[in-house]
Amino acid sequence: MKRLHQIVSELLASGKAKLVIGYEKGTGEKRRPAFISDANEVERLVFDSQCSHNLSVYLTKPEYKHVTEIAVFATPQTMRAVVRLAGENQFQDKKLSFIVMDQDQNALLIEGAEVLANHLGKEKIALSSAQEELLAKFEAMSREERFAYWKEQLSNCVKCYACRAACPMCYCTRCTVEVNQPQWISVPSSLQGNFEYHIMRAMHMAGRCVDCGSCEAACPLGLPLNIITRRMIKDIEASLGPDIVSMDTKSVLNTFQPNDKENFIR
Amino acid sequence: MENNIKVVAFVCNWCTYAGADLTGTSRIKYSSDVKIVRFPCTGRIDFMLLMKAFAEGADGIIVSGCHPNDCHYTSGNFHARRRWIVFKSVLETFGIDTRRIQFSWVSAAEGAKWAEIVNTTVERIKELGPYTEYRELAGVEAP
Repeated sequence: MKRLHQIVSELLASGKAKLVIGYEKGTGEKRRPAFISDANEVERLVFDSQCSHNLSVYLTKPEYKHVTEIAVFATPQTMRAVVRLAGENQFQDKKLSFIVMDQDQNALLIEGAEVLANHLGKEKIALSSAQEELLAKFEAMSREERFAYWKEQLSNCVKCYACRAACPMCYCTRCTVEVNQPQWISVPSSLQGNFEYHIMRAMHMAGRCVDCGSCEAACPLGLPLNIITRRMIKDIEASLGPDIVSMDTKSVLNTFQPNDKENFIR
Repeated sequence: MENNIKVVAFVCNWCTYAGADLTGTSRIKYSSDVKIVRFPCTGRIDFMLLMKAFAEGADGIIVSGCHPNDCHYTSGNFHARRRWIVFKSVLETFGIDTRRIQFSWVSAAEGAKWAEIVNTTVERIKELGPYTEYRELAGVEAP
C-alpha cells in the first residue's frame, strides 16, 4: 500500500494527474470509488482484491469532461473497457495514467492507453460458478421457457437505468430511452417497455461489451443481465469471429466481411 | 377470423421494392396480408423498427433487400446482414419468436421469388397465429 500511495502522491505533485479515481474503504469489507485531487488525502486510497467497480465508467461522464489529466486504478475489467473506449476514440483529449496490480500485488504505474493495451492479457473474464450454472440452465431452455423466464425476471425491472449508468460502454449523451419523438421505449411501467429496453441495450452493446459485469453488479433488483451479454458475445464469436479487445479492432457492427456466414436469410 | 393476421415487409427501395413492383406488373398474385414499407436501404432498417412493428400489431415481419454485392450504396446490406445475425441471437436470448421474422434477399428481377417469400411467410404466420404473446406484455404492470 505504501508504494501505491507513493505513486499517487508523485502523480499529483508532478501534475501528471489532476484527479485520481481510485478506491477507498466503504461499508464493512466493501470498497467504494474515491476521487482525489489533493495529495494530503492519498492515505484514503486502497487497492486490493475487494475492489470491483469498473472505474473507467467515470472517464466519459460529463462531470469529468474538462479534466484532462486523470489517473485511474485499473482492474482487468477496467483495463478491457479503457482499451475498447480508446479504440472508439473517446480519450483523444485526455492524458491518462493507470495504476494496476501485478501478480505479486504490487502497484504498477502505466502511462497512456496504448501502453495499457500492451499490458492487457488475452484471457477472458471468468464467471462465478453460480453464474456459470445459471447460464448452463438457461442454454438448455426452450424458446417458450426463455420467454417465460424473462417475463418473470423483467417484471421486477424498474427501469432505473443503473445498468446503463454503470456501463463503461454506455456514454452517448442522448440515449434512445430518452427520445420521445418517436417514443422508442414505452415509458409506462409495463413489461413490454422492459423487454424493449433490455433488447435495445443488448443490441447497442453488440461487439462492444467488455464483459465486465458492471451492469449485473449495479442492478438493485439482481437481474441476471450477464446472461444477455455473455450469450451475445458467445454467439458473435461463433458467427463473426473472435472477440478481441484491442485498440485497433473495430466492433463487429461497425465493419463487415463480404463473406459473412449465416443460415437464415433466404 | 383465420385470415386476420398482419405481416409487415421492410424492404429496400432499390431491389426488393422494385422486385415487388415487378411481381405486380407480371400479374403474379400474392397474399394481400402483407403491408410493404419502403426504406432507402436495408442498412437503414433499425432493429427498433422491428420491435415497434411487433408492439403495434404485426404478427410477422419480412425484411428484404439487395443481394450481397448488389447494394446501391455498396455496403449497406453487408452491415445489415451482420446486424441481423446479432439481432436474431439477441431475440433468441429473450425468447422472442424468430420464426415470425423472415430475412431475405430479393433483387429487382426476382418478382416470382418475392411472391413466393410473401406467400410462404404469410402461410407460416397463419399457422403460428397472431402474436398476442408479445403484444400482451404492454398490458402487464411491471413492477
